[in-house]
Amino acid sequence: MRALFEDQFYGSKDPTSGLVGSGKFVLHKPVWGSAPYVDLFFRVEKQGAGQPIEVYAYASLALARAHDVDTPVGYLASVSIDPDDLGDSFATMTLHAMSPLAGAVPQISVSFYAYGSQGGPGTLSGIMAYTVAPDLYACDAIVDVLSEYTATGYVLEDFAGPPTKIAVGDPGVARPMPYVWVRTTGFEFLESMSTGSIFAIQYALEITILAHRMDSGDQAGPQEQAWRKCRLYQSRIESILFDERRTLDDSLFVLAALEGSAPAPTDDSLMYEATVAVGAEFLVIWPERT
Amino acid sequence: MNLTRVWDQIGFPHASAVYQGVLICPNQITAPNNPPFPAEKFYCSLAGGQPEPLWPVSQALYVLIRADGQTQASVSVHTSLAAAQAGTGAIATWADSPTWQYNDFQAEQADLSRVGSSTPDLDGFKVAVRPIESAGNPLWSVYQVGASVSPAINLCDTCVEILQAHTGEGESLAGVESITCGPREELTASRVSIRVTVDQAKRSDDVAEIGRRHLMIPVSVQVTVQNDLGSQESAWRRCREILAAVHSILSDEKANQIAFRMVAEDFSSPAPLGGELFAYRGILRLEADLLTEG
Repeated sequence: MRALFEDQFYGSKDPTSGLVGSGKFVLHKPVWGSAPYVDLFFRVEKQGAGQPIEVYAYASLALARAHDVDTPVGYLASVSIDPDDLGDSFATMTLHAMSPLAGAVPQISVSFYAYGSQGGPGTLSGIMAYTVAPDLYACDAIVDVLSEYTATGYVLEDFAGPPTKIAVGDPGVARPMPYVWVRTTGFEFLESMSTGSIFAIQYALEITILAHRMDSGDQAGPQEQAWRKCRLYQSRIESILFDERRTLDDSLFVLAALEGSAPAPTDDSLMYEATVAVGAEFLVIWPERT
Repeated sequence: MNLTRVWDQIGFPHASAVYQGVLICPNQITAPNNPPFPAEKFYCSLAGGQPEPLWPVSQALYVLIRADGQTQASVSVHTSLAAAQAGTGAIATWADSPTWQYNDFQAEQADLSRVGSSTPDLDGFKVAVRPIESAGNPLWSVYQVGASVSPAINLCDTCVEILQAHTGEGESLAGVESITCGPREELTASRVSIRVTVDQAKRSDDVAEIGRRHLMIPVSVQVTVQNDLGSQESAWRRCREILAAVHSILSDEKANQIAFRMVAEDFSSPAPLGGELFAYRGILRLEADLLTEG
C-alpha cells in the first residue's frame, strides 16, 4: 500500500499557494493499469486562469522538486487536464489517464481520480507524494523542521553544521557531537470503517539525541551539566514538534503520540543518549488490492 | 497431508485473465457463495472418513484455462508450463466445458477425467476455477498448482519469485542483487540482498466453518545493505526503502494473485548487524494464511 500526501516542504510552505489555495486541485486516488507499481511523485502546475492543469509523475521527490516548468524532463508520465473537465467536488471527481513519456523507464500505466476548481482562478504549484515508505518523508520533515532551529541564537544552535548534525538514519561511529538522528522503528496499520473504509498507517519514529557525557566546560559537576544539556535538547525538540511547528504538518502527517526516555549513558559511557518517540500517522493509504 | 497451492498465473499476462484462482483437490472444493471470491477463499474440504486419492508427490501441475470468446471455457492439466502454453499433452481434462455464468461459482466445479494412461492419474479429482469477468475475447491463462507436505518451502520459493519480478530497471527492487530463501542472520556476498525465511507453521481449526483448517506460516524477510554506498545514512535509508517495498508487494500489490494471504505483523527498522558496522539489516515479519489445507 502507498500513502498519498502533499509535500509540504516544496515551495513557500504558504498553504494558500499549494494544491489547495487560490485554485484547488485534489488528487484523490491513483489507479494502476498494469505493473510495475512504483513510487510516484506528482508535480502539479497551473499557470493561470483558464490554463490547463499539468500533472507530471516523477520517480523521486528530488526530481519532482526540480521540475522545469518550461522544459520538463525526466518524468515518467504526464497528463494535461482542461479545468472545465474537472469535477468540482468529491461526488463529481473524474478519472484522468497519464501518458507515459516515450523512453522513460519504467513505462508506467497510471490514472488518478481528481477534482478541484473548474476554469479558474489561480495558479497551482505543488507536489503529491505516493510512496510505500512515507515514514522516510516524515523523518525528512522532522529533520527539516529541527534544522531551522540551528541558526545562531536559536534553541538548537549547538547542532549547526557543517558537518551535518541532524539527519535521517544511523550516523555510525564517526558522527560529530552533539548529534540528532531520526529513524523509523515500527508501524501499525489502521482501518476506519466509519469513514468509508479509509485506511491509515501509523509509524513509530524515534529521535535519538546524542551528547558528550563530559561536555560541560569548566563548571563543577560535569556529568550533571552534560545530562542537563542533553535533557534540555530533548525538551526543546519535544516543544518544536508538538507545539511550535505542529501546524506545519497538516496533510503530510499527524504526530499522534509522544514519549521518550531521559538521557542515559551509552554502552561505551562516552555519551548521553536521550530519545523522543513519536507516532507519525498518514491518514490516506491506498491499498493496491481491490 | 495434502495441501494445494495456487500460483499466480504464469505464461500469460495476468491483466488479461478471464479466470482468477484455480484449485485441484482430491475431494470436494468449498468456496463462499457470495461474490467476490478471492482466490484464497477456495479450499479443499476434509475427507470426512471417505477414502481420497493421493496427490502425486512433488509433482508440479499446470492448469490451462481457455476461454475462446464465449462464456464457455475449457480446463486441462499439464505437467509442464510449455505444454500448458501450447495446449498440448494434457494429462487430465474437464471435458464437459460447461457454460459458466459470471460469478456463479458452483457451476465451475467438476471432476477431472484422465487422458489415456497419462500420469499422474488425476481421474476423479475435483477442479474449480473462478471467473473474474464475462469472457468477451479469446483469453487463456495458466496456473501452476501443486501439493506438498512442505508448503513452507513452496511459500518461500513463491515469495522469492514474486520479489524477483520487481528488480527491473526503475522498479521497486531495482538494484537488489540477491533474493534467496535461507537462514536469517547469515551475510551474503551481495551488497544489497533479500533473504526470505519461513518458520515452523502453526495450525488451527476454524470452528466457524467445520472442516476448515488454517495453516499459518510465519515469514520473515531480511533486507541487508552493505555500508559502502557513500554514507551510513544512505545505506540505512536504502535498507528501509527496500523493506517498505517488500511490505507493499507481498501484503498488498500481489495480494490478489497468490493463494496465500500475507499479513504484515511488524518490522524492525534497519540497524547495524550485531557487533558489526559494515551492513544494515531490517526484518519484516509477515504471516501467510493458507486456507487450502485438506
